[in-house]
Amino acid sequence: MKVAPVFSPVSQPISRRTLLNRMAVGFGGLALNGMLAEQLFAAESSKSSLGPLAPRMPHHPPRVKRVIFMFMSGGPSHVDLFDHKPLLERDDGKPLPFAERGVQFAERGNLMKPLWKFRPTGQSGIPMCELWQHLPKVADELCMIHSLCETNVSHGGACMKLHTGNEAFVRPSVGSWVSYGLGTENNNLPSFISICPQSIHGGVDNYGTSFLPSIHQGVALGTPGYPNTPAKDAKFDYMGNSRLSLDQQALQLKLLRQMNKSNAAPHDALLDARIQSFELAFRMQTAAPEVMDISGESNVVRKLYGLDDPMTENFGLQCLYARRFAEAGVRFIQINHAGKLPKTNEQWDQHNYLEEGHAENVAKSTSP
Amino acid sequence: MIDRLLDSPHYGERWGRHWLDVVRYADSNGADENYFHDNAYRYRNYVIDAFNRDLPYDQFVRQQLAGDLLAKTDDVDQNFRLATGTGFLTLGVKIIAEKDLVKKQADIVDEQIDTLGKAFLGLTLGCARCHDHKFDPIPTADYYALAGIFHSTSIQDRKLETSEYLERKSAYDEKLSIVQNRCDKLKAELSAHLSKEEIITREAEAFDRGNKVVIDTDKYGAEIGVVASYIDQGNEFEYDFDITKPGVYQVEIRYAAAMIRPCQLFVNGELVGDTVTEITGGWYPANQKWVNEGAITLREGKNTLRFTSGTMAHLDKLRLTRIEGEIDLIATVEQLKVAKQELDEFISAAPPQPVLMAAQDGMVQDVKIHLRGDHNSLGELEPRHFLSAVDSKDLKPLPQDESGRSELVDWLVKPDHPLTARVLVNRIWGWHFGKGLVTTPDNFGTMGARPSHPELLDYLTVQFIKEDWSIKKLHRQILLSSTWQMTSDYTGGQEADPGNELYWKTNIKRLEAEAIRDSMLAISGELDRTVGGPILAGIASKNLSAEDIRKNQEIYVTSPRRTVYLPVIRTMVYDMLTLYDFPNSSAPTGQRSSTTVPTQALMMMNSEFVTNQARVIAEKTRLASTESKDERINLLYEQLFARRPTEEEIDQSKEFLAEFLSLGSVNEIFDPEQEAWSSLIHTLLMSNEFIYLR
Repeated sequence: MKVAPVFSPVSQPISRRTLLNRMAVGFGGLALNGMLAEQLFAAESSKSSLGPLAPRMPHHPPRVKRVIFMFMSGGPSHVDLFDHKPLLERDDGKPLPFAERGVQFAERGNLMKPLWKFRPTGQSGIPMCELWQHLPKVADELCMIHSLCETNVSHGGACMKLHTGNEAFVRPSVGSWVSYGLGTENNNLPSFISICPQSIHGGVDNYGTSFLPSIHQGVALGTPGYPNTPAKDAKFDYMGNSRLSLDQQALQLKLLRQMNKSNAAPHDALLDARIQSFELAFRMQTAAPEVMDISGESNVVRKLYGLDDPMTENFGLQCLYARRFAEAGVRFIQINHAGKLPKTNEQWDQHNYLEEGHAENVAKSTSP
Repeated sequence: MIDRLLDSPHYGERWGRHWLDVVRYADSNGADENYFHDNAYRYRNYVIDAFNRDLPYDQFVRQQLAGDLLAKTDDVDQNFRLATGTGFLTLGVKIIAEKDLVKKQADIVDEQIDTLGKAFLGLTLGCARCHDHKFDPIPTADYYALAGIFHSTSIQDRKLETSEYLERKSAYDEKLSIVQNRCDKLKAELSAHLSKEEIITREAEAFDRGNKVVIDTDKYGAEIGVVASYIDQGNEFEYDFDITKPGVYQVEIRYAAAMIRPCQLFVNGELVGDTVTEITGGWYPANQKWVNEGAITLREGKNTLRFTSGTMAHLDKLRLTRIEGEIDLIATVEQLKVAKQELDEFISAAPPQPVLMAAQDGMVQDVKIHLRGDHNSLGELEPRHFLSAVDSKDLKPLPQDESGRSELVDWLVKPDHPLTARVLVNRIWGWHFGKGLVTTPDNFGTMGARPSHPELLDYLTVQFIKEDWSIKKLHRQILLSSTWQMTSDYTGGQEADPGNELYWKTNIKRLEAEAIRDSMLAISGELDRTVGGPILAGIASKNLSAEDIRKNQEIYVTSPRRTVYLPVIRTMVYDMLTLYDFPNSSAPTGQRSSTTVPTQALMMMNSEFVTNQARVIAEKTRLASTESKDERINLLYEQLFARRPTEEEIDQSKEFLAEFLSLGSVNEIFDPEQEAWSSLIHTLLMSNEFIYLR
């Protein structure tokens, strides 16, 4: 096959590979659309006003609709919690049996056995350490990936790599990609929400869009900070006005519509879209507080989420919000278990005080 | 009118901001550790000033890549300005906590090459880090040839002089010599009576107790041994002396210092004052000098000398010599102590020398090709050169004693290769019309768009070079064209060219984020038109706390300065700006997008800034107009839209006011009438007419 010269002045011919590629995706895509047309119907009806957030189908039939990503900031110790390494028990206290890597974060000590005993859990026998009292009950709902390796020894680089896939440059975060690829199912809420995010180690870039359109930016619930905002104080920015009632804002909207119509300018889709964006914003303003209003939740549910216990209240409330957002059709929701412990700068960052710290974190993030 | 606008000092603020998009300007690092860029603002002001002075673009390019190499004139301010330009190379995102320093340096260089490629050449050079460019003729060898130039360049902060600093410094030095002389005279008085026998010498590194300080017998203390501290870490170290003859002793310290890094001296727990306050010429053993630090009183038996410091010079030895004789020792020692304290205070108030984020030549070197971009897997050494595809005939080896940035600029702005000029001309066109003749202004490669009007782009480029690369002349040429002067109302070409590719009308354009905010401030009368100046006090810490962020938000909402002067804290840019498509300041952006999203509407409806501006305008127009509603509405339309309202619009506004009042007020303490007017103005500020240009 001939390849077009690099600086060809004429447009390049389509290569065989491109052609096949396009055909495959084209036909596949068409068939899929047909199969799933029904499911999409409801969403399609409001597609016109959604633009880049209109729901879209992936290349294969999806098995999940939404993602809730629990980010345990600081780095839980896998060898102490989930990843049982019997050799560590055997070689406790011995030096590393292989060469050190070129780059280290700090001086490395000798091998250390897990602080807690491991036991198989659930029908599947997934090993978990004894610190986990409640998690084994759902062991069979979990899928453990033990093959993950790190490439960066510092929090910042590692956080960026985890969220965006790149440790050295600013790139779109996974939630933004999901929003970009799949759109959203609720046009009154953002497609990607990060609950109580931190401002450090990547900060906003960890839920940012980078070069993708800004509409796919993760929206923060709670001002990002270090430490992050407690869940009970978390609010969306700009959702509501203390000096204007909803009726008064509706009046403003009416005037905006009138002004746009009486405008002497020729009809322009751009200007219409902007008026529509105000109407959508007005609806979001009522939809978001409704989703976040948990006064209707029963005591059973409150207990289930640990809201009755000061130990689990903060993380539990984040989880409850996440469930409610998910049920309302938000595509990607991130929960951030992030804060400071008395002896640790970041929630799960137990360089020392591993026993106390991990015990406290497990207690804070699980309940019966 | 065109001349008036181009001569305005605010021209540079607006057009300089476009360039700041291209060079990913920010006042903090972002990424993993969001360090504050304390001195980035100097580069920002430099860019604004360069646009205002119509600095020819070829020189602008030269100053940004190699200004430091030109900064050898007799004019210190000119030298300072030239060096400031190289801030361009320093502003990128760096992974500060990267522990692999070789990778860190390679990433920094990669970011520089990527930015310079996109900014000046419209080429995605960064692709060639790991493999030959897939689409453009840029082999990996070319990438590492360029990388050598930047591996030979250092971007540590630099201290430089300005005439203003020198003036303050010379006034300071004059006074300093008076205070210093008084001290020296007293020291000399005491030194005249030094004992020949009572001399105690100690090696500095042989302290009795100490924390953290480094004992160096290798580099800085080769063969002599020194005590030092290379970082600011709260050092403490103590020496015990057993004294048989109590009395007054002269203290001398032998040390090497390239900068002033004082140590506080305590004798038996009592603070005496700062020592090690001189510059001896360098950090190395050759610069070790004995310095007389004055006199102290020691008792019989054990005496403890304690030193505390942050970052520290390199101390070799201490010497105590007893002073004996008939002079009134105690009184003289007291006088010296007072004079010394005065001197310390005076020195601590010395005028600070300006610090720059700027580049200069480092260790000149060629680098090896990194196979697949991996710094652990090295290939052939690639001598530094430029892109082989563009000019392979007269490639000369670069100088061995300079990085080669100067020669790189020679090549970039060679008048016979028009790429650099074309890229800029296309940018200027794009910033006027909303899109460039090439719609991918940062990518002129095979994957970029082809020009819609190639001959026009060529013509403008040739003219631009002929007119000595003057951007203001290029503006004039574009603004005087009939293409620029078209209206947006004309619909005649709709069928033939619905996308308006052929410029048969003007496209409706949304104001940029900065213009939206500045327009509101201008109408409310609050806009502060000061040009330049340092960064508005924002956050200066590494880890942004919720409190830091709150403080910064306050600046965004309350500052009356033009938006270009608001701090750009990466990942924490004012959301009013990011919502309206302010670029991600981590990467070069030649063309901003112009999106319409509901979060913009939420911000307009509910932000404190917008509602405040509406209230200020309401108050101002209340004072300016008579009681007549019609007149007040007229005044508002004139101020906001530069036209008078139609009858229909007056009626709509009046109807709005009446309905608003009938709904009752949210809070009793506000005057309902004023709230209604504020709300009306708020609505006009939200309208399409306010933020779209036709």
